[in-house]
Amino acid sequence: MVDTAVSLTTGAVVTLPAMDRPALSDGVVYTPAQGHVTLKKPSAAKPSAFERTRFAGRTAAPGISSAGVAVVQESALSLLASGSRVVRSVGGSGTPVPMGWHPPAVSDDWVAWVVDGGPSGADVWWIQMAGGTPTELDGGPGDQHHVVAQGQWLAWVRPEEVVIMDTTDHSKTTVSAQTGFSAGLSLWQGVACWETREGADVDIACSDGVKITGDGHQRWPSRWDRWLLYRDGDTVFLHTVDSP
Amino acid sequence: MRILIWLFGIGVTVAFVTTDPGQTISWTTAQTHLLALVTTLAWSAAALGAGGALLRRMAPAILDTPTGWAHALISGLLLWGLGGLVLGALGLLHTPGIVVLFVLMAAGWLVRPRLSLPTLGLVAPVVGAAILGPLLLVALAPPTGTDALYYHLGVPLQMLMDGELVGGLLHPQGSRPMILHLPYAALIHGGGLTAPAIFHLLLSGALLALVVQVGEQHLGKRSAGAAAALLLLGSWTFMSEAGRAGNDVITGLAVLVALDAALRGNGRALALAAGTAWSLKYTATGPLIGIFLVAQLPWRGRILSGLGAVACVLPWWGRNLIEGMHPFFPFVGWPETSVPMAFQYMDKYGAGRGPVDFLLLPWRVMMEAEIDSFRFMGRLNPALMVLAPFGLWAAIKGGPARRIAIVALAGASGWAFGPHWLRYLLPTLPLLALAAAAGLSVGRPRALGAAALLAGLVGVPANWLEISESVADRIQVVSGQESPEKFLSREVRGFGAIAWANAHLPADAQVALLFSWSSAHLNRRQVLGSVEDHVPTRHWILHHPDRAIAALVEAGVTHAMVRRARFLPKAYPFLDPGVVDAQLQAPVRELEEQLLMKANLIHQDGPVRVYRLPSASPGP
Repeated sequence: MVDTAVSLTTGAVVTLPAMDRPALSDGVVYTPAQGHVTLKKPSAAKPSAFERTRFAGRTAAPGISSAGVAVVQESALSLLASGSRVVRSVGGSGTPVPMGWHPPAVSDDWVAWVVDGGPSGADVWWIQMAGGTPTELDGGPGDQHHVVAQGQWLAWVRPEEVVIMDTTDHSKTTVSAQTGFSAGLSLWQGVACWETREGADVDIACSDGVKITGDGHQRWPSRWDRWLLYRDGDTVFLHTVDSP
Repeated sequence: MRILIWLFGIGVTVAFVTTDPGQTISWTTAQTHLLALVTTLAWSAAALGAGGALLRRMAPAILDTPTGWAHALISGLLLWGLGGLVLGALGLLHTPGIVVLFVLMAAGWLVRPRLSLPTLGLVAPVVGAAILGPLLLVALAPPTGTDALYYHLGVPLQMLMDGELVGGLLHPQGSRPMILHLPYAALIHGGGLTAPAIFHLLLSGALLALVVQVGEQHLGKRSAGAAAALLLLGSWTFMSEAGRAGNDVITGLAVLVALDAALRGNGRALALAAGTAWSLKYTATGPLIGIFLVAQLPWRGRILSGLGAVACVLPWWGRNLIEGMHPFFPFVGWPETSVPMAFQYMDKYGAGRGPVDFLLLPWRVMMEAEIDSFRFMGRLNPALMVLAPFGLWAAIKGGPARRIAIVALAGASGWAFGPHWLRYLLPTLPLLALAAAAGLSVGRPRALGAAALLAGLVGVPANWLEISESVADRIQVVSGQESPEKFLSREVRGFGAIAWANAHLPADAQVALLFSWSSAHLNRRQVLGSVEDHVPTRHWILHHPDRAIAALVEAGVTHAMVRRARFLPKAYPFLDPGVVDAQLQAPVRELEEQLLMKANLIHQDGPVRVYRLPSASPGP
């Protein structure tokens, strides 16, 4: 449950209605039950009975962008483009069923989600919010999973690697990484951070070279600009990255 | 003509269900229920035939008594369980083996054992059915009870998946005598997960019928038997178990059959019933000792009968020995661990174990028991306490009432020696009820009956309210208006993880259930389900320090389903905090550390997480 938002830059605290596994985008928090809650005016949110009903079977947090809403349900991905009153269901007829649990990632008009690839493990598929047919973004042996989005960027974990993709030109960067065993990725402006257990315990590494190490486990990275939130034991730390 | 009338009635019923515009009872659901009911009735009839045939050869005189049917049923259960043991040991727990066992048991009817239905009059069966009947809704609903899920249904399902017996450190519950759980496996095989609960409800009804008969036959008053049956029906501890798959009530039935044989002086029938009761659950030990003390047999006869009873249990002990386990595993014989472990913390249950606590025990059991806490975890009807002093009076006068009271006292003492959990009293509860109801034969029966009725009726809300809510909650799913998945999602926390695992784990996955117990709903081979203090999981972790996960992988486990476990020191006030940490909390921390460093989290739903273990092949 999420009921509070804190601004790292101003320290402002915003009280939200209690939201179960919400999606977060620029200044907006969303669940099908509460609708789009803007952080500047949370009380103005207008929940939609239509969305609450159609997305009642969601199995993970939704994904949102200005292009619309994506929700993983038990046997299909449901898409609701902004301004539309028609929910598009993506599943069956050649499209594998979603893996549940993994939230969809929405980068501008692109929606990526994790599917059950059968014996070869999880795969990442994607589709455009407004239309088109679903296609495999990354598959093959081992798990391709933990897909996340921020702005024009997508990132996911594949065996021994983290892939970062710019959806504007479909260019990909891969970074060697031992991750995907627990928490997913954190992504901001093409920089991904993740948990790694290459050492004696769990540490945090980022694609721009930032590392958080120390005794015990450093976990649950969350990167935004120069700030990196993470947890060490029962304490949440805020690490400030030195300016380049 | 009679058959035609029946067929006409069935035809109209089927037509009503199938053509109902509102589909109040879904036909698909009705078919599932019918299959479970028919399977249960068929196996029960086969057990009666097999038991009848055995008794015709070993103790024919008992078949001529009004309680002969109960002896046949219990002997049939013994044969069913031992037949299952042979199948399981030979790896034949598949369709052909189970069908052959059914045919062999049903063939018992070929020797035409003389069996007659119990004669109970009209009122007792109608009242009993009216009270017990609604529990059919509990029996027909998807199972949710923790013990049913991880043990009574979970172990039989595993045996069916493996086609053979399961046991040892990875399946500790499977190393108990499986005399009931192998029959449960056969019932599940034919009738699905609800068939064992229906069978259990059927035998709960049989127990009530036998209680009435024992009152009539041995106390000389049917009203005493009827009152004893009402005491059971008015108690939450009996009613909450009757509609679920379990073994306590059926143990109570076997114990009562043994008492009947003992009071009739039939040594062979006593051996069969006592052996069955002891195989069903070792909590029968107390009342069985009492039964052998009062048996209408010479000492030599009692010893021979006792040896016969032990012979019925020997195969289970032998099986454990062959597998390198202690005969009484999992109650004793756990390999040593880095930290000494207790199998059960006796002090956790009831209201204390000091001398004063034992003196106050009868009062507290009746007046202070709670159904939702470790304070006896149950409820009894106060009418039992109204009748008890008069039952004692009847016992002092001698005769069968005294013998029944001695057995009840032995059983109650045995219970008091063990964990103060009222469910464990069920093997003795029918005897206690009969011993108390014997008071109706002395003094002023009408006044006593009225006083007991008043207390009994006032005690009904405390005993029935939770059960009536439970029954009402299941109407939708039993009628097919609510899907089993939706029902389980709201009744079993973390069911989403089970559903996910059923949908996404490889078909050949082997799952370790760590601090988790939803075995029966997980359609994969599995090990180590546990409840409450989670002995199997904690023992595994403490027995393999630093390499619990590696040891699981070596045992062929590919995935783990882990429930968030919290052992709060306030739940163990009788333990030193250091002991709570070392025995209970440290294994949780150790497991979390190993999972974090060795395994891959692949799903989470509420408190339940699913991991892929290191050497498992790629895939979800």
